[in-house]
Amino acid sequence: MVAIGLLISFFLGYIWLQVFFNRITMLEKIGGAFLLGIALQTMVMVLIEILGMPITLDKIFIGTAIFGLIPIGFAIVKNRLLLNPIPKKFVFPKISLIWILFAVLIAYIAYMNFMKCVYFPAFDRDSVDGFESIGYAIAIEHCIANLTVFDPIYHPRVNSPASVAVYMPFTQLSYAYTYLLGAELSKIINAVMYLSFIVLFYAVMRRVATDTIAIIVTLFMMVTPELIAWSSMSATNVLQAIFASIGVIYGLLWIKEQRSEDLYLSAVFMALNLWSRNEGLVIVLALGAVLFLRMLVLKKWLQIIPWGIIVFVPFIMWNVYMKVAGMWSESVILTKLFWDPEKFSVMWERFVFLMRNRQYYGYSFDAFAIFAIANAYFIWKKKHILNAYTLLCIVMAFVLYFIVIYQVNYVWDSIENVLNYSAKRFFFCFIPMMWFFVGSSYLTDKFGTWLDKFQFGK
Amino acid sequence: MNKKQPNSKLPKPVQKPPKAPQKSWFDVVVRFGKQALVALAGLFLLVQAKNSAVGYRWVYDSLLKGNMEVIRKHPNLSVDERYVMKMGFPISYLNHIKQHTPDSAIILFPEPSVFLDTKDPNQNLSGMHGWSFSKYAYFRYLQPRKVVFANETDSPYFEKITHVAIINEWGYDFLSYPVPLEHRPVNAILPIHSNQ
Repeated sequence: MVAIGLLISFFLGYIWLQVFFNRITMLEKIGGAFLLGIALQTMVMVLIEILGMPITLDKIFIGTAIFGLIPIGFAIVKNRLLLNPIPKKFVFPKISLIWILFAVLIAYIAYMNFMKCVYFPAFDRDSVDGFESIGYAIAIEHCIANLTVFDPIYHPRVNSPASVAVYMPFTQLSYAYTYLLGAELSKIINAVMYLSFIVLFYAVMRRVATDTIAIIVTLFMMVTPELIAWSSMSATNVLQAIFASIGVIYGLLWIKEQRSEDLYLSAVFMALNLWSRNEGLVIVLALGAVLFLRMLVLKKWLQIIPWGIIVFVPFIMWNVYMKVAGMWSESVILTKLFWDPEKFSVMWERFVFLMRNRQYYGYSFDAFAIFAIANAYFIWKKKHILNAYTLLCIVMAFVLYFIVIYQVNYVWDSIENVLNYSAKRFFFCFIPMMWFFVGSSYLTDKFGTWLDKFQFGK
Repeated sequence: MNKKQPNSKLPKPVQKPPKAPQKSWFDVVVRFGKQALVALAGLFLLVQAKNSAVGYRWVYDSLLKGNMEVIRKHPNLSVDERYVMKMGFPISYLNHIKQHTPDSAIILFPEPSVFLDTKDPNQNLSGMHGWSFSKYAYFRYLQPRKVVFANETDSPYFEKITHVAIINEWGYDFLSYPVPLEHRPVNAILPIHSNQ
């Protein structure tokens, strides 16, 4: 039943991508299908809750069917294809021995990570004291706002600062879905999402790099130590990083190619980034600024409006619902500007420590720094639009995140602990973006082209 | 003799493109050799990356291969047994509570510091310390039973406590009946009243 339920999620996402984003490659559709499908189903669950009905499997399936009928109806009205036609001339990727080597390694590592994820139960503190347990509670009690554990009489600390009760709902609802399907462990969600992400990342890398470069960069991205370790934990960080980084990459692809599918897919994944974690707003603001800047240059600035609407609709819907349902937590944001040199210094040291820590991030930051410096001249001289905006987006997101962390009042824990745990995991968002920069840089492109000529001849 | 008029609708003859020059075996061997060279360079890059960064070594040797070894050794463990493997005595203790209390039980638990005061190393509950204050976690493992903490004296559930979680010999003071010192287990679950 679990496999059937997850396949339904896959097909829901696939049909939305096939109808509304038809021009993306089949590999992108395969990679993105489950990510989109499971997120849509969590929105179905919230709608069921808003309508006052118990969240049960039959209602989720009915809602899924209705969501599935939307693209089908659109396809019929607009006479669009529901299935990919078999291409007359199938273009294989350029497969070389090094491509095979890296592909086999990716498959082997992905297999081991998948098995580890689905075999072991959630045991870390954040999972047990948060999403895993709340997801289980939703599956047992078939509601969200009226959960026993959200009743302040039973649970006096439910509204304390940084309470999990008011977190964005994607992670816990996706776990609830697996428990409703009869799973004994919920981490199958994390396992399948990480697999989908690897496929999708490779697919988008192929659009800006040769197949050889794309596969090399994909491997180095996926084995980033803390990223792959947390990919099999019942936490929201990697799931949010997947949505955030893919949303940014599609936004950057729009900057390069101006295809509307890329802009709207960027908006969709940015919306899912916010749907999974509030801190995703940092990435939304950075990408939004970068996109708006490019739109001003192209004199298409009005396009930011539909992008922004798609991004914020689910976020606003959930926050309005929480207000109506009486779910809240004490605010920890300091709204006044202030200057605290000691706090700034602690944060700066910790940020630098994290970025230089190869135990956590491998060579991700090193590679990004080296390629940023090496390509700086070409970004300027050759006006490499993609690299310039990628760099701007990453730097802007870092600065915004620093400001947000600075403006938080740490009443529930020390700033050192928050930086050691939360910031370390928020940096996951940047890992795929940095490897995307490395793989799409001017010098990498030149090297990749030369490598293909060397391997395959003219 | 009737001549056939030229039919303008007849398709024009298709000119076949010139055949590409056939690759010799030598070209194939050279191309394979070049690809092998690149693949070897790639392998060298991977080995160097793994050896030079402790994070990559940890990922491959410990996180992935280490855990796969455990999975291969114990392929048929039940979910409960896998919980015990990962969480140790705390999950066994919580399962014990589930087996020895009714669904309607309201259980008193101590403050987190008590979990660190281990009296018996074979019954170490310190692993619970990180989430011992979490109603979410107790719901996950004990639902539909409810949990009350010792500092929640204002809670309406406090007066309805049915059982006391004895943790590192903490909790005997809350029982309405005496338990002789020689009969006090270090960790247990006991009804608050003797007639329950």
